[in-house]
Amino acid sequence: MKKNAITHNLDGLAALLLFAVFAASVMAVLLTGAKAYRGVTRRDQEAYNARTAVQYVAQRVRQADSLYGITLEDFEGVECLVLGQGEPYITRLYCYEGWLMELYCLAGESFSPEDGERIIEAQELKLSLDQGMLGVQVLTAQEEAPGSRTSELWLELRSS
Amino acid sequence: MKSKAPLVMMEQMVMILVFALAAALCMRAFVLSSSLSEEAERRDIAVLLCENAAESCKGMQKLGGGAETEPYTVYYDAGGFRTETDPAYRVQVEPLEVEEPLAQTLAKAVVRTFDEATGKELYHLEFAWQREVS
Repeated sequence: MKKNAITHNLDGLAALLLFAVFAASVMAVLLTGAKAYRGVTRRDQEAYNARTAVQYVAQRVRQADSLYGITLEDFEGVECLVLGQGEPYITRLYCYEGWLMELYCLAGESFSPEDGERIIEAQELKLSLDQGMLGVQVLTAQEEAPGSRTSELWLELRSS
Repeated sequence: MKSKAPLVMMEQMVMILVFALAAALCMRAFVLSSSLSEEAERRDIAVLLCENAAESCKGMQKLGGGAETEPYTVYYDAGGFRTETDPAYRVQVEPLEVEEPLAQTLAKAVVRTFDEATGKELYHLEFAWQREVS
């Protein structure tokens, strides 16, 4: 009778252990899935930010490519790309307070960087213009931050 | 009274077996999604490198250089910046022949970006530009 009771208890314990193994496996699979999903969405978001920022600048430059129409200037201490130079209205593209900004305004009027419209998150915009080649570098997150990526784009100005 | 524990254990073992099969499929899907995402990221960079090479080629042509006659290869690191050591991408620019009567006015080239580790072509772009007419 006593032996029967011990066997009964051991059987119950084994079933409980098996259930614990099952629960642990479910948790492991769930956590792995969540980690994989987080990794994929993070990578896709970084790629989207990097690609969109440089392609946006490229598109704006292509639309405004005219002789001497594209220049670089210092906009109250912020490196800035000026489109439509020589026309009554100009467009300024620059990075300010973690955003790629665009400001469409009357040339010659005094505006400040915070007047622009936010386009996409970006930490830094580096520009260079040499012999008709426009270099654009966009840093999409703080340099030490995870997911920080610098995208570089070269554009040959058709009208230069 | 007979214990029901062996029956419960049997049931749980079947449950674990079915779960193991489903989990194996899920794991494969996770790995596949991760590798697809990595490949998409590499292709994004490859597209940008192809665009940059095409633009540089056209720009150099204005300055008297470019891929009009000689093919050339440039190496880039994982972030898409030029490097000579431990490259992740190889960008090859090759001139293409242009048939008459356009040969005097039009130049064509193809740019290909390869994954340096696997040698696999990630992206290619054919482009053309007008020659400078003097």
